[in-house]
Amino acid sequence: MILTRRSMELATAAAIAAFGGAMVAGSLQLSVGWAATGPQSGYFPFRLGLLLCTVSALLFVQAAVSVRDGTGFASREQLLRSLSMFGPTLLLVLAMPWVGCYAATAVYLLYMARVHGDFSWPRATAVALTTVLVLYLVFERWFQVPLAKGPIEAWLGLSA
Amino acid sequence: MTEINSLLTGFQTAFSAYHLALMAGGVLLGILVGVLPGLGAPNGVTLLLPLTFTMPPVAAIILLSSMYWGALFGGSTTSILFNIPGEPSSVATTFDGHPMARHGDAAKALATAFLSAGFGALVGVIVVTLIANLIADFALRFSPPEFFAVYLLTFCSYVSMSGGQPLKTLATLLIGLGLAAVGMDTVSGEMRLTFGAEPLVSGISFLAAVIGLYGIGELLVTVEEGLKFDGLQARMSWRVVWTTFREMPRHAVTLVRSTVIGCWMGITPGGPTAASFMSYGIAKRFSRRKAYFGKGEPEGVVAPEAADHAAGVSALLPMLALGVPGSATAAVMMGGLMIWGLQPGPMLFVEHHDFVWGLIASMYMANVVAVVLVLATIPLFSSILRAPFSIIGPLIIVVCLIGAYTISGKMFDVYLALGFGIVGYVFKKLDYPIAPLVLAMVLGDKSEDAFRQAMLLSDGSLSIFFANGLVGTIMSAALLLLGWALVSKLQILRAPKGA
Repeated sequence: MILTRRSMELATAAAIAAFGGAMVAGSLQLSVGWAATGPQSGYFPFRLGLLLCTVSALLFVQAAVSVRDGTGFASREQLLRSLSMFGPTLLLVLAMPWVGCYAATAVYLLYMARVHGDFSWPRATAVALTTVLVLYLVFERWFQVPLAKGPIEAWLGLSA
Repeated sequence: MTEINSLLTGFQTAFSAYHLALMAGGVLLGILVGVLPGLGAPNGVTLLLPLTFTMPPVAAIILLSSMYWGALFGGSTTSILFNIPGEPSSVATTFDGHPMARHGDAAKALATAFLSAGFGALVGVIVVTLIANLIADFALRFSPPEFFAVYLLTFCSYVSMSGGQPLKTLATLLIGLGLAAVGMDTVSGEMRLTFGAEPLVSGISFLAAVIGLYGIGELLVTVEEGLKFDGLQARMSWRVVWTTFREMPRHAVTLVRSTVIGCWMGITPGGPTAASFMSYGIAKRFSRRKAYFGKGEPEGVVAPEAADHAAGVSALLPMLALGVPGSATAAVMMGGLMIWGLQPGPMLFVEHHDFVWGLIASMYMANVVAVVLVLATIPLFSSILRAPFSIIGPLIIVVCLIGAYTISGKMFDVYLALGFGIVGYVFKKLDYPIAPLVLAMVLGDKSEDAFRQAMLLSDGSLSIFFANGLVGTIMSAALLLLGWALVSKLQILRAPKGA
């Protein structure tokens, strides 16, 4: 186990506290009190943020006291499996605004089918291209919802 | 008999070839997302929502609700054949459904599940039909303090009824409320919690949150477990369906009891998941065949399925009449309603009579369509799961990301969805419930507005929340539920030390 459940419980409680803290800090930039028009814009988030900080402190204590170190959150092998999915997905998302969603999707699917699916080149290419074509027909043509475009679509004259 | 008249006009609205085609399409898409891991009803409806912005609201809601019914059916299919619940609410179906399938009774298990589910859903719609006007009329007497009290009751009942750890439920609720507050303040127009970031001005889309939390997060958990689908074959034959149908009266008591539990849990925001577990537990407790539960007892399939669908259907009633969704999927649909320019709540019944009753009428038809379609197509859909996950997984990811992009055509929503994916992965593994977060994101602004309007009415005195019997009762119920949940949790903390 490279991540224990206990450490993740503690880290999550801390992250929630940080979020609560951000809510408090953000609200303090506004007025958190009363005016003639009732509670002002910071009133609600300020108090919710304080409450969230309290709850996360309780969660932290609860995890520290009652969660034993023995149970795992994820083993090395499990983490590697999640990352083998998450890593390429992150790259896909980062590439989308630059090369457009179709090209990025095609490369992503080609990679996943080749590397994780053990597909042959022709089959992997077929999966990637068919998906892109279906996406194009469903979104751009059928529902008329435009997706992110890049230089390839511009070159094909499709980015209008 | 205004209900009958309203329902008849509803049928006139809903009954057209276009709407029937939408129902069939919605149900099929629903079965698909229900069968696929990582895609469930809340997520499926969210992905479809941006495509409905240009449709007339009645057509749009028929498509989305049909998808919901289809997803409920699809979720139970994977529970039975693969021992993998497609939806959280079909977890209880695995207890007896999968053993039945292993013993070679897969077709009977599926038929039992679908028929019980169909029964639960139909009774759910009848209950909705009968009490919809009643609840809407009652809610017409509500003013801001009452609305705030109802929202508070919803939040508190999530904390007390969700099982698990109330503190974690409370935390996700508060996070949801915090996320809802981001962006322009609805009263003063000031920017809140944006920290000067331009993309945050329009707020954080709850649709991106649902896609990330339910879709990407779920998928990361699935990949991590190195999922292999060791499914069982199912050949549906109409003869099995018919014999199962003839055997259903044997389970009449369980069927009725589970449906009642389901309707109750759907209307009060306990939700389908709690309903199916509770119904299974009670069925086991009172059954004469108690010893067979967990080993492939049909009654153990009837109970969670009838309750699950009755709850799923009746969860739409509080969403329409009070603006308080009874399940995560209902919360997404309510968000859709607001995007189409309809305000959920009692006035919807007055101003958009056709819409409300068209939807209710469509629920009768769509559930019948769903039972028939699911029986006819299930071998086809379960064969999808035999395709390698290494290709289905990435395809689902692509659909989720593109779905996030279509919300408003901004990359920011895609980044959000991916970020929420990590949050969903961690929350799922640490048993933080996700439904309260979604509910809070949808209800956040409305509950805050109600609170601020109430405070304006009372000049800042909290006593307005106990000013009359109605609001006082709802407030007290909310506070009691919350107190009870937290106190009982403290007792659990103390118990191990004494033992």
